[in-house]
Amino acid sequence: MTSERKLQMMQDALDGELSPEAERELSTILETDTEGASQYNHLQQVEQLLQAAPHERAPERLAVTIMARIAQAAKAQPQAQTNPEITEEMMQTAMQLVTVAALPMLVGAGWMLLNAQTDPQLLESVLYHVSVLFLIMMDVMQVVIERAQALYVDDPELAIALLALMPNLLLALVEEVLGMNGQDEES
Amino acid sequence: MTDPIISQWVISTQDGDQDAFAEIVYTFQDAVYNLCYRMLGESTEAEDASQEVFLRAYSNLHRYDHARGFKTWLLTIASNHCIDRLRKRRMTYISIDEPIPATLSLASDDPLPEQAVLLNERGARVQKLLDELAPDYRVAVVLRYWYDYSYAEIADIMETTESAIKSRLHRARRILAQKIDQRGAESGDRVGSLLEEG
Repeated sequence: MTSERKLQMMQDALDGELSPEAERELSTILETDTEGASQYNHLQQVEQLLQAAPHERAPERLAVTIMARIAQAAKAQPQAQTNPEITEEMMQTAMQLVTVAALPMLVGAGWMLLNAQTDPQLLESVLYHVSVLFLIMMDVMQVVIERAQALYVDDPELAIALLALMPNLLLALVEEVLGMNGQDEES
Repeated sequence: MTDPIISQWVISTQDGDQDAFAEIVYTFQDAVYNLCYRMLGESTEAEDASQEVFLRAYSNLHRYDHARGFKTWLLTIASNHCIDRLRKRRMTYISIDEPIPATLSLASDDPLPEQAVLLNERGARVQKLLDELAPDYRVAVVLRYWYDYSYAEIADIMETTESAIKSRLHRARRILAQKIDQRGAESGDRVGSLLEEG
């Protein structure tokens, strides 16, 4: 009998899957095979050791901690359910729309600079106003984006609505600057 | 087939009744914690893993098939989670060719009269042996010896074949027997002392 077959019989015996005839055969073999008997003895010891191993009980605080975490998760869930369509992707799309809305202002500023090139005084004035306009625009956009990011956690819809207002804010800003420009020219 | 009471708890939880899920937690917390402890070998991590298992179960209740035993389903989540943790831990398993460190010795010269202490001691020593098995072998051993699952049930939990489980368990027993054999050779033949102590 091969050692693999012998070992398989030992394992089957431990699993209680060995027929009475095979069990007798194994006993007969092990009577003369000291190495095999020692191997079987160690396997039996492993079996006994594992069968007698104690169960670990969960700490008392475990259930309370789990339920507290679930209550927290459940509290956050309804909000997510009321805004299922709001995703990070939509937030990015809103930001791209704001960028597109700002493009006409960039074109306008370029047009003014090109037309003022023949008059040094006018060019200086245009450069000054365009620089001021863009600095203010950058500040306004930074503030609005920061507010939108903060709002996004609690109310994504409001955050996107705020971003959607950005073109209007920028337009009002340009009108204000142009208005100042007109007053300057008049003065 | 799940116990009708447990099925009702699952349905009530899905309807938003958190008290029903609390019943589930109280009923199965020991089973989940014991599995996590035997897999991870450390109480703090076992507690953390148990929390994760129940949170995952809670958020995936809609996927639970009532035709399947709830405990089996829960222990499947626990097994997979523990195996993931062990893999992330990048543990280096002690080769069967290397000598067992002194701390893994099963024999003890210290007299330990109190039964509780003996049980703890035995549990710790069994744990040190378990820690030497690869995660897939370890979970099969734990489900077999701590939960009395059949090969077919373990195969169901581990989503593999019955023959694969049988092979893993037989291989695990041989590895552990070799460890015990080595320990016996090192400390004089006192292997049985641990069993006799209990």
